[in-house]
Amino acid sequence: MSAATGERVRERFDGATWLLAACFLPLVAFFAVVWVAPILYALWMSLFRDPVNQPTFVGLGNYVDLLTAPPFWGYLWNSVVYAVSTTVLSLLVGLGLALVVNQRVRGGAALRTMMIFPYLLPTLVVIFMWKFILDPNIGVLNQALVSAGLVEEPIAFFSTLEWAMPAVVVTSVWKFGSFSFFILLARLQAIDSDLYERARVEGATTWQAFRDITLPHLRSAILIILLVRGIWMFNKFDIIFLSTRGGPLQKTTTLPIRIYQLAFNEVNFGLATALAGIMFLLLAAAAAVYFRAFAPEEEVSG
Amino acid sequence: MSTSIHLEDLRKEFRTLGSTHVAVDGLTLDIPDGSFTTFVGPSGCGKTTTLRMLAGLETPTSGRILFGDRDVTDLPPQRRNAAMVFQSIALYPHMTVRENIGYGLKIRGVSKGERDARIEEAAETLQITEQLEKMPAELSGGQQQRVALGGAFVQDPDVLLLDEPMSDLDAKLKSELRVEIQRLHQELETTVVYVTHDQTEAMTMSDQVVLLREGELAQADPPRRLFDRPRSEYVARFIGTPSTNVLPCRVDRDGSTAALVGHGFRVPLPADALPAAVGDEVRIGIRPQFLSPDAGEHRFELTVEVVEPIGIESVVHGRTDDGTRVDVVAAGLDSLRPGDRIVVGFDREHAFVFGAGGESVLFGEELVDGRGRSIR
Repeated sequence: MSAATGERVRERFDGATWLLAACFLPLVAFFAVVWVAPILYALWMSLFRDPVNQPTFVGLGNYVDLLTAPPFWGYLWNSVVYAVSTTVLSLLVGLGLALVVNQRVRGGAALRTMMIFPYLLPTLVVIFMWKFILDPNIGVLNQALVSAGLVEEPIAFFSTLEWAMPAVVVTSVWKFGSFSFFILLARLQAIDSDLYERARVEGATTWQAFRDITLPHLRSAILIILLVRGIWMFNKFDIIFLSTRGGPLQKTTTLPIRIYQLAFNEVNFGLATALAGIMFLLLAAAAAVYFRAFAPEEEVSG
Repeated sequence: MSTSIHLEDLRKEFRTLGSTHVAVDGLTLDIPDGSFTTFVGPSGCGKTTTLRMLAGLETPTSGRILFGDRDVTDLPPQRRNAAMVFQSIALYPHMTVRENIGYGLKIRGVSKGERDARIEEAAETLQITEQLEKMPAELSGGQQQRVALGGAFVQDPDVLLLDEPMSDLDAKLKSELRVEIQRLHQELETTVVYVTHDQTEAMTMSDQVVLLREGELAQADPPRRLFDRPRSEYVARFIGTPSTNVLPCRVDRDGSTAALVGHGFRVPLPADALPAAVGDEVRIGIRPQFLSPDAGEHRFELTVEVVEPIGIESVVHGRTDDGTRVDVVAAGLDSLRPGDRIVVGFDREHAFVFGAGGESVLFGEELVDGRGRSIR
């Protein structure tokens, strides 16, 4: 290094820069240890057969095995159905309730406070609650349905092929609807009420005012909810595992459930980590397409 | 098509938690077809509530509103053919200027071609053609104001309602837009109802000024008449800057002659000018512009407190020896200093006489020639 270069380096790294580096580096080190290293290690493991006991390098062999076996597409389909339906439904439920509370109806404040509880309750409690509600023998819903004559036999919601997924979706929406509710309510309350009065004077119906004033104001929040909630629900493990363990007959086995089964039931870390790698790539691709299409970060700043 | 507006004993109460607030109280008023009428008054006098009742955004507690001979009291806003510009401007933030101006037309199903033609015509009148494709947030305050006006008058309303549309603009822009709005009114042939707390706006723009006080009508008259013939001390003091000076006086009756005796001056009264019912405690009102230093028929002394030079003239705030505040507007006073003593005077033809209840009982010319009382 020449003297001149040394001078430039010294100039660039003055006191403030050192302070910045001193604050920043521990954070980088922390993330490297708890975040980057495990991810890289998992991706590395996904290139081996039996990576824990007798590692045999197979390149992308695990990926090929997964993608060519038909069950994968079933699990992917389950994941997409679960993520899309829970995200969209919790958005609609949250929006509906936010619109009601925003109308300053009687009891709106109480409803707003109550809305935080599903989000605060531990997942296990939520599962017990819904298992109780949907239980075929003692569940309140089944009793109501049978006594109303809507069904002849009680339905074992969590363990019938056609009802397991809807039951898991309903449980999830109940827990996560309040997330959309609070974000959307905050946005609704920020809308200038004069806009609605102007629209009324100009002759707009309630629906037209909703379409032309409310929805445009909520657009950015809705996009963020779809992105964040969509990723979270695609990765969701606890609600499904605790309620159905992926059954019946793999009907609610999503990709995260399948990864758990591969890793801890079948002790196949090579396939498990490869499947996790596939999920990671799928989400990255979906997020890239989404950002290209909607640019939600501009919406937020704007 | 413009329309006349008639308010009949209009009343609006707001009830909150058991207490009732009367915002507008028995307002009866005619607003002529095609006129420019301004509601003016301090905050909380009911002017905006009245405007909102005209728009249909508030329902009167009692009384009637007629547009021409059509009773619109219970009609929803969209069936009144009224357009409104809000104090907050209320531009739809997600629409371009073009869409903002054309929204009312779009809702009414006007075709895109006709809509664009009318939008562009309006934009040209308001000099915002360049801004048509921009978003409201990209515009200056004055431009946003023009867009809001465009959105209102492009609908060709019978009644154009403006709720303090200029309260957020700076003084220079205000004076520009004042001219603009008057020009629009002349072009549009629409009845304009304008609400403001700024009496300069009210006096410069209107055919008729309606001054409200705590929900009641204080006076409704053309600006000049409001200025020259205020019906009460409240009106005299609200209209005109600085406010009309009010000097306490005593009526000194002596047989057939009478006079008003104030602190340091005595104004003779024509015979029978003041009925006995008025009582002996009255007040003389005199506008600061009609007080001149070392001139006038009736003079009194002031101690100067503050001097505000405003170009050629100065505003001098002072006090008489009995503590009454008096303002004087005149040229050549800018060399005065606080504590200086000056003598100011007025001619009685410019004075108002108020009774104990604040009502006007005599105007200046009646003090001069005693033509008798002709109040109102």
